[in-house]
Amino acid sequence: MAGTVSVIHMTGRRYGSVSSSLAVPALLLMLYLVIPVVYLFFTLPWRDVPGQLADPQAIGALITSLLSATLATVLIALFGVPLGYLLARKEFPARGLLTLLVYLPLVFPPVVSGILLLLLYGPYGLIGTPFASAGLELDSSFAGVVLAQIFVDSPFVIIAARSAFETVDPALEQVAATLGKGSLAIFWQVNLPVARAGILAGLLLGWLRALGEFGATVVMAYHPYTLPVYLYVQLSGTGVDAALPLVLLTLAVSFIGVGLVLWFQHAGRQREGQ
Amino acid sequence: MERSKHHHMTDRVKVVGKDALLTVRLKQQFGNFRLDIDFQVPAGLTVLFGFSGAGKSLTLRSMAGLLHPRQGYVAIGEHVLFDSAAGIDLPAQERHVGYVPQHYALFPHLTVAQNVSFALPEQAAHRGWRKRREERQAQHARVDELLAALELKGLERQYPATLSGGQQQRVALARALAAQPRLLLLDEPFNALDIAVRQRLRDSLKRFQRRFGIPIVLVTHDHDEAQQLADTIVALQHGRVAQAGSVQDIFFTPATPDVARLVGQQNIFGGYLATPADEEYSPARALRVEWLQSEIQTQLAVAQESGDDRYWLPLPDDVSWSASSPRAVISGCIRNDEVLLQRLSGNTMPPLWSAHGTVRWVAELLEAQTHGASVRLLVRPCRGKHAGKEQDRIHSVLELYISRLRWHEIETMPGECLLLEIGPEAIHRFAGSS
Repeated sequence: MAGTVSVIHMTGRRYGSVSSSLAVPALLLMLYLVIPVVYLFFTLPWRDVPGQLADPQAIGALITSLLSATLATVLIALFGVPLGYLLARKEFPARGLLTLLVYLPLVFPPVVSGILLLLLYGPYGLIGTPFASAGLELDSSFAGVVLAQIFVDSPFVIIAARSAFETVDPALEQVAATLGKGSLAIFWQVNLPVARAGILAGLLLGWLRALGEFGATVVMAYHPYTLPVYLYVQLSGTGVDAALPLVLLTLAVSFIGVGLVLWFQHAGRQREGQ
Repeated sequence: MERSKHHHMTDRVKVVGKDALLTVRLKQQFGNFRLDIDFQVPAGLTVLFGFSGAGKSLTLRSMAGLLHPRQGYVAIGEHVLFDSAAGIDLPAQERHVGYVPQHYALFPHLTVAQNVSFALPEQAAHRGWRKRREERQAQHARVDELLAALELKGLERQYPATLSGGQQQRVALARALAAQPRLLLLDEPFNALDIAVRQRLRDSLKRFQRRFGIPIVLVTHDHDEAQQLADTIVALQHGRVAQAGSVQDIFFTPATPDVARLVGQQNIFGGYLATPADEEYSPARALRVEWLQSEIQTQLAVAQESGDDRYWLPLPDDVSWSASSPRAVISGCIRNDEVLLQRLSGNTMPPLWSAHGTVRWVAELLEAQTHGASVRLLVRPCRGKHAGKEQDRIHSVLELYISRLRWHEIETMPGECLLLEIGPEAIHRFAGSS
């Protein structure tokens, strides 16, 4: 009896000391991440916030950002989810090379991505020229913003979709096949719904990234202003104080978005019932 | 048009008659593993029985159309699913073969009712709403019937993750049956369940099979499962069929050493026909043991050096021995539950042969363990009563089972010696050996 008690005591202490020694670095990083946000609330000129947020240019930038990010995310979903599925499930030549190419935009500095896009879609680019002569500018336009966001963000969605599809038990597909379902029906009725939570989380993250995209957008489409570009313009033109209300706005949107991502992931785990 | 399609659907249920045969021939190289299967059995409950890696699951998946071997033939009754010679290889979708994998693979995003109705065809939109409603009602009734038959009533709206293992298994069976398959394939269906509930669920599977009259092929490596369920056992070993037959055939008369080990007969011997030295009751001919081998102790031991005469076995009655040439090696097994054990009393060794044709061995008891209603003994045959010098022992160990009652009568401590009486009924000769 006494032996049992002492064992419990010993293990309890050991776990305690391990987690407390891990807690120190964890806590320090937490503070580093949280303090700037908290500090903002103390330094914000609260009296100016309503007025500056009501500024039509700020509202325009917000609308441009929301619309372009949403459109980009829909387009990424339409093309990226099938690509993620193929990368997860199908054996084909050059799959490794394709995977590498898909990952590349992830490691490019966004400005580099913007330059690459400008070369191709700009007024003198291979694709941009015919569009420009038809009166459709692909750079410095809403289309340019969307093109930049798609280029920078689709890797996130493709990777998320791929790993979501990879976690689908192949036995589910096999059973569905023996139940008479063709491969397209299996994709729609099994793979997609089972991988749904992971894909939705990926899309939401992609949408948030598109919302915050700056580097490629500023090169490809300085106008119309998106929220990050307008923020930068305010910062460089008027100073930090003028940018702060917009910072608050951006933070609010991000906060809601991340909350949704976590909720999707939680809901997905809940259903699979660990 | 609609009517004929509907009829086609319902026809499928009764296509396989009671006396239909299931024919499976498969040849395929999978990396280093060669699958070369060939069996034809009555379409009842067939158990593919073998150690892991014997090719059981590959066979099952090839039958389902999930793998496509290069050569072979698979048919249930007159329905040919695969015939490489004729260029027939139906895809899984058209085989109408139900497949239940090891962990059931229930669709996690669908409720029990949705899982079961997954296979049901969707109503074509171009039909009239009245027709569609009729069909929907018919389908609903079918699903309802299946849920009731498999005791899933009340669980319709639950998701698989909330079900017990046994409930999940029944949902998987209902889902497979909803597609009206000609054949049901079950891959280790009891593995994911607690041991305590396995036996009961095996009984209910057997009842289920009788009720629906559907041919089942079930994969397992479990003795109890094979004996409890099988109408026919197909014993697989290294990608081949080692033996096919009834439970009695496989468990009582295994054809090869591999099958003997598979069914738990570990006492495998090799020997040849000879005439034992003239003693009281000694038979004219008997088996002179050359070696004993058991998986329990891996070393292959020579039972006796030349000149030693103590290890003989009586000839089983049911085999004709006249054809065997002298000196040809005969292999078989000593059935582990057919050996009589006695205490070795007094200091005198009993005679080697008895009046009723049994031979007596002395063996040292190594271990005794309770095993259900019996006791499992590990004994090492030895020459004299006092197990004494190392070279006097043979290094092989016999595994024997006796009833608990008998064990209490014998009451021997490990290290002490026992008298084994081995009669002709304890000896099984492998069909393959000369």
